[in-house]
Order: sequence, then C-alpha cells, then structure tokens
Amino acid sequence: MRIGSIFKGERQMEIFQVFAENWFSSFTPKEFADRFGFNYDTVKRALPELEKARLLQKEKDAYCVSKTRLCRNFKMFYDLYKVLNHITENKRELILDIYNLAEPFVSSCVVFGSTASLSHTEKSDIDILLIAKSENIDKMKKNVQSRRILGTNANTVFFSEERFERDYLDADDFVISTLSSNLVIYDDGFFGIYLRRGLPEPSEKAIAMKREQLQITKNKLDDAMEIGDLDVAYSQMLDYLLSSARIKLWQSGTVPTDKTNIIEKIKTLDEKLHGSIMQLLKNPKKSVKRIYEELGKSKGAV
Amino acid sequence: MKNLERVKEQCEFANKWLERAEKRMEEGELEEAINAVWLFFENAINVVKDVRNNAPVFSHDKTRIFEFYAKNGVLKMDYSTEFLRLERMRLSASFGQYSNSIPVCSIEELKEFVEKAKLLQKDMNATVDLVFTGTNS
Repeated sequence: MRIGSIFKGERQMEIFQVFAENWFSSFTPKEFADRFGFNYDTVKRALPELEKARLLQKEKDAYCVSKTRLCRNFKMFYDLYKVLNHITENKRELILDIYNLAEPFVSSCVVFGSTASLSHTEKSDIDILLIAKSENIDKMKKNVQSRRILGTNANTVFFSEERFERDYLDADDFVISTLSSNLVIYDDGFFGIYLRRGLPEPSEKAIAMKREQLQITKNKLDDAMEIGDLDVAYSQMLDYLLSSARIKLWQSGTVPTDKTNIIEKIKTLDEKLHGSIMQLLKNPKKSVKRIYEELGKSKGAV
Repeated sequence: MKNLERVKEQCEFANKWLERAEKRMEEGELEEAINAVWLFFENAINVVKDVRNNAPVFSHDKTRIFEFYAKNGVLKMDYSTEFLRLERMRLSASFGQYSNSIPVCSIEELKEFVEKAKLLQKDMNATVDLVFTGTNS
C-alpha cells in the first residue's frame, strides 16, 4: 500500500504526523490549528477524513489517534524517519550500536527524553529504554555493558517486561513520560500494547511516593535558600512546583504527559500555582525569594 | 585582576554546602546529603578554575578539570572519581532506579566522600590564598 493512497495531500500527512507525536492527546480542530500553526479550514476538513481512514477517532468534539495497528505502524515509520533525518550521525550510530548489542534479547528498544522530543542539543544525552523478558534481562545488560559504549552521552535504562507492566499499573512517572514521548527503534509488539492501552490512572501508592519525593525536594530547596545559593534554589523550586502541579493533576484524574503539558493543564485547576511557575520561568532570580516566602505562608504548594 | 567578589561568593557557597552535607548526614537524610556534598564539589572546582583562569566552569567537563588540576599539581589529588560517583548517585537519588547510575551509597560510604570533600576544601583554600595573598595556608 502506498502512503499517498491513504493521505489526501501532504498537509493531511503532516497533520497526522503531529497527532502521532502527541499520541495520548486530544484536540478540537481549533485547538489543533492554534497550537500547531495550521490553517483552521484545512484542519477542519482534514480531521473527519483522517477519522474516516481510521487513523483518528473522535470523542465529543476532540480528535485523537485511533491507536490501531495501522496507526502504530505509521508512528514507527515516522520515528525511523526522524532518527534518519533529525539525529546526528554520531548519535544515530550510538543508538544502533546499543540496539545491536541488546538485539538477541530485546523486546523493545525505545529512545526517550530530549532526543525523542527532538529538543536535544549536540551535548544532550541519549536516553534509551531497553525492555526484555525477565529471563533475558541480565544477559541483555551484560551484553550492552560488555562494551565501553555507555560513555558520557548514553543513558541506558533496562526494564523487564514484568517490571514495565507493574510500573505502568502504578502510573509511574517514568513509564508515563516514556509512553508519551518516544522514538521506537524496535518493537516485537510489547511496547505497542501500551501505546494501544492509553495512559494509566495513578494509584494511591504512586501519589504517596510522589509526595515523599516532593518533601525531599522541599528539603533541598530549604537548604539552598538558607545558604543563599539562588541558582540551586531556582532549579529545586521549579522541580518542587512542577511536582506539586503533577500531584494536583493526578488527584483530579488528569495524567499529564510532560512538563509543558503540566503547565498547560494546571492553569485551569490552580491559577495561583500556574502563575508561580510562569513567574519563576520568566524571572528566575527575582521571583525565587518571593515564591519561597509565599510557600512558607501557605505551608507548601500541595 | 581576578574577580574577587565572585570567587569569594563561590567559596562561601562551597563551604556552606559542605557544612550542610554533614548536617544532613547526621540527620540521616541521605538524598539531601548527597546533593549537598555534590554541590560542594561543583562549587569547589568552580572556585579553583576561576582563581586559575579568571573564569568559572561553563561548558567544560568538570571531571576532566579535576584530572587536569591534579596532574598540574594545583590539587594535591585527583577527585574526579569521587565527583563522577557523586554525580551518578545524585542522578540515581533523583530518578530512582531508572537511570543507569550506581545505587545510592550507605551512610558509611558517604562519610568517606565527606572526608574527601574536606581534603578538597583544604586544596581550594590553599589555591585561593596563594593567588590572592601570596601565602599558602
């Protein structure tokens, strides 16, 4: 089947590509056009046609990818296209070297982090998730770590299929962010199952763990403020506010996919917290002291 | 002309982070202690480089700078291994078990890092004294 026979024109293909990059998000035609800079009339015409082709599905007024096998195959095609066209040769070779070492045992090989969202710079690390069956995980680890390939710019994370499933059910942060933004290098179908299932609801355990981590971040922030190291205070403060926002969203039944998504979604839920995050991003050193004082008065953001 | 104010501020931060690391270690707050001792190493190498080059560390790999100053005799020993381990542990503490980093250390191991940090502190102070006052304390 030729790709051109599915899409009516290049714009339609581009629109679907953006949907595939935002796998778990839904957009009305207007939201989509505004956010991604497409002509509204083009989007309004294209979305029902993509729905008819079973690449998109409609829920109320919003569209999202249909997550069918055809959809997943297109995503993998685009992922490989991005690897070939938007990643430097050195990094591409590193990814392939790691994949080749893992290949006899790997179920899924997925690039995540800044490389996957194409927000990487030359100095960014490459983050690679390697999933294998429990009985193969040690052999795969040994193989990958046998070569001194894991230098300063490759962070390889090993998961057994069982652990990925368990953490998925706990709505673990890492699993959610990896499912939300990734480039699939290889998949025997395991990772695809989760792309089809959608994002999980966070469990009580996941929320409790996040709260514990939040307290540690708060302690680090307190240390930085007492010492007066505002650079460190800024990064801890941002981490603290974003984690607080994530917990609030979880408690309201919303699962944000990444930092940008947290900022977008917290706006309607907690305007004050959203305002603090925006001020901090706009004017780091000036606002860090003031926001810290406000946190003290309100006894924390959550 | 060295940037006295910048070096002085950075030096103060370094010393305070080391004090904080010891306090957090006594309290048994391992993650906070690792973070603080790592921040001491970061600030200390910044001070040493600023004193020698009149510029703090920007895009350089700090591990290499530790190695370089040890080879040149600016630092009495090479702290690059400790720095790298702390950096990995810090990542490990922040991202849990996901990163490829080595697991977070025990309190006993952390005490050894703090001892090394105190040696680095002496080296840092000596470098600062030598350049600004011409005396080696």
